[in-house]
Amino acid sequence: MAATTTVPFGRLAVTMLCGLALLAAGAAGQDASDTSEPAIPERLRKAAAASFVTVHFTFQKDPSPDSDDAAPDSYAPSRQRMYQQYIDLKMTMDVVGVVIAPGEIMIADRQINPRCVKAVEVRTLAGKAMPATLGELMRRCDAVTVKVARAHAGKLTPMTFAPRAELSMATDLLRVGLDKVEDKWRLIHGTLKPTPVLRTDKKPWLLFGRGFGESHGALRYLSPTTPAGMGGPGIIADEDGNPIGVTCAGGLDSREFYGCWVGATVLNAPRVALAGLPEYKRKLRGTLLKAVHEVTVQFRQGGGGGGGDEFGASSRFGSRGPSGLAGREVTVFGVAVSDKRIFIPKGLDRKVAAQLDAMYVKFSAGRRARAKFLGAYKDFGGMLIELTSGTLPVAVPAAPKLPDRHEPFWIASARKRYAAKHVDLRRARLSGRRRGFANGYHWRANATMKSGDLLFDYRGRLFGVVLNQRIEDEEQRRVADPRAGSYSYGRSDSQRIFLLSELQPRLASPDKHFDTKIVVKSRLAARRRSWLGVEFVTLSPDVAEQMKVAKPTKDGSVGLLINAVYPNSPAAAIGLREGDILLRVAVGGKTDPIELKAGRGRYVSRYDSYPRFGGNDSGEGPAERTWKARENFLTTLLDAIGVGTKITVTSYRPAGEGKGAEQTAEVTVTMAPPDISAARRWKNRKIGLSVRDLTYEVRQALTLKPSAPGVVLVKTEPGSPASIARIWPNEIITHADGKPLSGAWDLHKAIAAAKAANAGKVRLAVLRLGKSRFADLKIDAYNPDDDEGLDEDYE
Amino acid sequence: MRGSACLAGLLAVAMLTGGCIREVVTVRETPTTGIDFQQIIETAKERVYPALVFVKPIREDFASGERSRAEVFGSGVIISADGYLLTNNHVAEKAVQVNCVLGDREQVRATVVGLDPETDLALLKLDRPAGGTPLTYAQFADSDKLEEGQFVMALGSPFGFTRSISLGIISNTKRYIGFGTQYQYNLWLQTDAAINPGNSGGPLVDTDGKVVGINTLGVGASGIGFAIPGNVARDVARRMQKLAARTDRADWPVKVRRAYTGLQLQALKDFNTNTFTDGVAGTGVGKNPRGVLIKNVEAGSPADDAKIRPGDLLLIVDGQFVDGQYVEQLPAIRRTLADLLVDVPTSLTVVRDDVEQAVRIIPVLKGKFEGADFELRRWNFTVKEITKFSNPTLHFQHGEGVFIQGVRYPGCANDARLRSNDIILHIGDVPVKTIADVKKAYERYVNDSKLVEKKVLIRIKRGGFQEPKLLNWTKDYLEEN
Repeated sequence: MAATTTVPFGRLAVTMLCGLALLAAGAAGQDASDTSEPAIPERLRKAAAASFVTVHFTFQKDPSPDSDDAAPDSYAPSRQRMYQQYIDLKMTMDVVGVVIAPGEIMIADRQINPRCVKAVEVRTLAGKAMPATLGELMRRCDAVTVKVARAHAGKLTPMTFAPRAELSMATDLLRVGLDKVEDKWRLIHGTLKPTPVLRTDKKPWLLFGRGFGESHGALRYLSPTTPAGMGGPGIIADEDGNPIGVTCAGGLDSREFYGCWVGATVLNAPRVALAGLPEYKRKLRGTLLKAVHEVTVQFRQGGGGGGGDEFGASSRFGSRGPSGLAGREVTVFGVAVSDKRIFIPKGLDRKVAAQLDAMYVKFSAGRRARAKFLGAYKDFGGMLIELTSGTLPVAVPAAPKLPDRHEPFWIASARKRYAAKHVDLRRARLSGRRRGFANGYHWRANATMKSGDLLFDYRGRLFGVVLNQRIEDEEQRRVADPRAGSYSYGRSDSQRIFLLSELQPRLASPDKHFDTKIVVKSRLAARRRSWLGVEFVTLSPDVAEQMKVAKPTKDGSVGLLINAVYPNSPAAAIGLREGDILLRVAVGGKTDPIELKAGRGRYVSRYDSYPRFGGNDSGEGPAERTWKARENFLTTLLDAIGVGTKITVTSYRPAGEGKGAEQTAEVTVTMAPPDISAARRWKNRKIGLSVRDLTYEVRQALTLKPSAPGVVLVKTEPGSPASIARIWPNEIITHADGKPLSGAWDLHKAIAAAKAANAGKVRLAVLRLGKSRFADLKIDAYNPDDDEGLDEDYE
Repeated sequence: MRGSACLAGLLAVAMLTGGCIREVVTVRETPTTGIDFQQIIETAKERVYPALVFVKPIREDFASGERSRAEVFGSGVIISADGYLLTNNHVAEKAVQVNCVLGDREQVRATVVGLDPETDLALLKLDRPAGGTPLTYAQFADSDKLEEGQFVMALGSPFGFTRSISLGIISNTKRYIGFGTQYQYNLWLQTDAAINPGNSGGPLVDTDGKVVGINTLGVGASGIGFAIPGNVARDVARRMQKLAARTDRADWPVKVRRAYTGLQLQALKDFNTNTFTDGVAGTGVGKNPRGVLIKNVEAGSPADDAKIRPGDLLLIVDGQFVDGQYVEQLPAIRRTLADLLVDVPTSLTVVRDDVEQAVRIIPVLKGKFEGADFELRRWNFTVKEITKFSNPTLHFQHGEGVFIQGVRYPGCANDARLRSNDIILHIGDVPVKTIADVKKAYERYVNDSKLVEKKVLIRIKRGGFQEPKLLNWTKDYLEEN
């Protein structure tokens, strides 16, 4: 049953034990058909049969009032589900243990919540059963102990470990494990051949057996459907059958690097009583909470109106995006890194940051301090804020070094509990390193982690933070890819442990490491966007074929057909015109251009459906809005690329019989003039209107010259003077009392002046569908206190 | 029918302008005045009944995306012994054949002599052999002398129930309904005599049996109906009659000619928008203010050329002072302007910044109100010309051109995602400006036997922006069933 493959390790062949020969252990029930028993030293077989036990856990619901089973943001519920499964099925969780001392059994550390353990029973292979309790946490091995009462201790035979002899290439080791075959526990046995890992100037590092790596199956929670015995400790013995160590990883390595330990380590590992852990955690939590802070982040009100719906890019504050967060308050947690600064291990995307209104550090109910946003990091999803006044009690203590492998550490997940900040502390151990971003080898742990989790060593000193790795130009590529919805910043595979050593320089001189695009902006500035200055439609394969542009547009899958070019725009400057097809945009000196494929549905203009006609002609009711929302695929992409970046635009100008030609032009991404959603505004609820400056895209849609006066009426309040004057949303007010209006501010001025002159009304000239009319707006109710929006600016 | 399409809007307007609903008088009661009211009605009925016509045109309709024909029901009234009859434009327009059932239950064909969509009137002539017996025709009463509360009867064929009479009173003699571009030249008689679909074009008569109006619009069974005043109807009928007499029959139906200045007016006291403008102090009894506010001057129009500006007051037209204090006075002013001689300079007096100014203006002939239709049968859609008056939104976005009137479902155009109100810019390589261009392109492609693939790229403008659409007419939807 053993398959042999040759791997290029000099003369060596590694035996891959794909199926382990089964060995009937004497006491575990003889199997008559077992005739070809492989050679296993009798000594080892006896020792194994005597010292292997099975441990059976019976679970209960956590009876403690501290149970967090219902907390949606804690890990407790998922663990509770596992326990609940056992409870529901009336099953015990059976694991393999090795007796290592009188009355003391070592089992793999499965991080069982002691409060959920109703009973523990230990059974020998000979069938003796005895009650037990959880014992100690082993700090050098990924294991805990179970203890049986002194009265029963005599029924167990501790494993005696021989001192480990010098391991060499000539050594073969033996491994014995216990596994369940149907309803019987059986010993399994195999030979472990060495594989040397050659190291310059040092002795080769010998790996015996297979299954090495960071995977710690042993340490996963076991569900009732997990094969029994999986990952349970196995015994490693020398060629003579003298047990020399214990493995949770399937083999033994000479440095005890993977999950295996020689007898001395096992027996001498420092231990902590599991029963004492809750108290230890409570104290630790108390210390940590002094450095962990709850931060309230407030976002600006969205303020709809003529701007149309803003499309939200997914953000790390949930998936609601900037518009979903408008006006809301979000709670995040951060850790004090100095007496002023808090590091928040959560990303903030460009659009969300722009909408940020205020931040507070909440010390306790009713006591909070204002903080300001310093910046968000370009390498990872994290940001730094600073108290505007006062100081923070303590900075988080820094660990001098990484915890040793197999040394338990704490994953602290901050959340709210009982209306106060709280950290969930979970135990984990570093499990190995995996290649990741930029070929770096990043540490991983044997527990589930989410970004924002803080990692503390056993003594409560910060050594790392779980953060999302940010990838350069990610936003840009996300916009450019029409299937972008399927992945975002928050991908779990992009999250990793950032060690304090990586973070420290970034915390010390953050300015060098901040993403310069992520800044807080004024309400109006946040609504500005970049532009090329075109409107477009996408193509279909049929249309592309018929237009004879199938080749340059890759059967219509690439390319934006321009159907309007705004005057004085970058597009106009490089000579783009209606009918040209935009194909690609290359950013800076990069060689891989972004193909322009607007995702259907999401970014195609809201005006794909034709305007509703009817009410429009009669002059009653809101006028049809014919200007396009300027948030589209292209403006979003350019925003992601960033103002000031040089891009090369490749377009195609169709000509007869497919003789068109590609042309390229270099453009610097510029900020568009304000569009209607970013236009200056004036709103007065008593007068009942909200107006905005007449912006370029509105002028274009209404064929108004750049010099034509007017403001856009974006909203009227029912029953207000504005609605009684029968002026309607999306109409243009061109004059007030005969004076042309150059902006929202002007109309406000005209009304304020008329009010000051005790005039009861202002005569408005109103434009709808290119036709003007007059309307008297009663201004008796005007009160400057109700003015809104006048103080806003782009700064 | 256009009439019913406007009902909802009308209702809203009627509410705003204070229309009220009264109960119909129960006529069988003993008259309090001692007059035999039943007798009066009998007399009136006898006078007008013989002139009442059940009009059954077979009309073409393009709105569904294909040319369809259907017989529709309307009413009409004979206004001359030689067989002219009046009905509504919305009854007779696009008729390929008009059958009329007369008072003697005889069915006679009629020819459409003239159509005036702007007042919704149509003049027909019964096709009778020359020298036949003169027909009994209805007389017009002076509709300006009508008063609210006067008894009237509406005659016609509501829902095709021929020779029906309903009785009511004049609820308002000068109802102004603010349509955007239609019905600019008349006020309305509002009556609570029931007016239902099929009454369209029938007479509203007084107790003398004389025509005071042409029933045109109804608001369901709510006791609110509207008729074109008889004087307007008579005037339009005469104009069309005169014009028809000078026009070759082949060129019928004739259109009423009106002058176009490009002025749009707003009453000095506009209660709808609560906008009140000072007029020029009048000198007559009550010294009513004179003039009317010019709210809009169409770009490129004669008024624009004459540098008249919105906000000016129009004071004198054709030597007469203009009284535009209330909306009810606007149709009369518009008629005066429409009656100015075309292509002949005339002087208007406007007031700007309190200063009277004489302005020389050369009115032009008002263009076509409604554009022609065309069916692209094989492609399953219909198109129509854009006109400033019928399609103000499209005209504003594009100017003159051709737009998709209807898209048949199912059909090739529907598959190509063409929609009604898309403006057609190009069909294949044929640029489209007129219906003739569409026809030319359509015929060229459809009849091109050498065409390998039945596909054509149609460039449209939708919501002001161009888009290419691919029309594939491989499938012939009309062959199915």
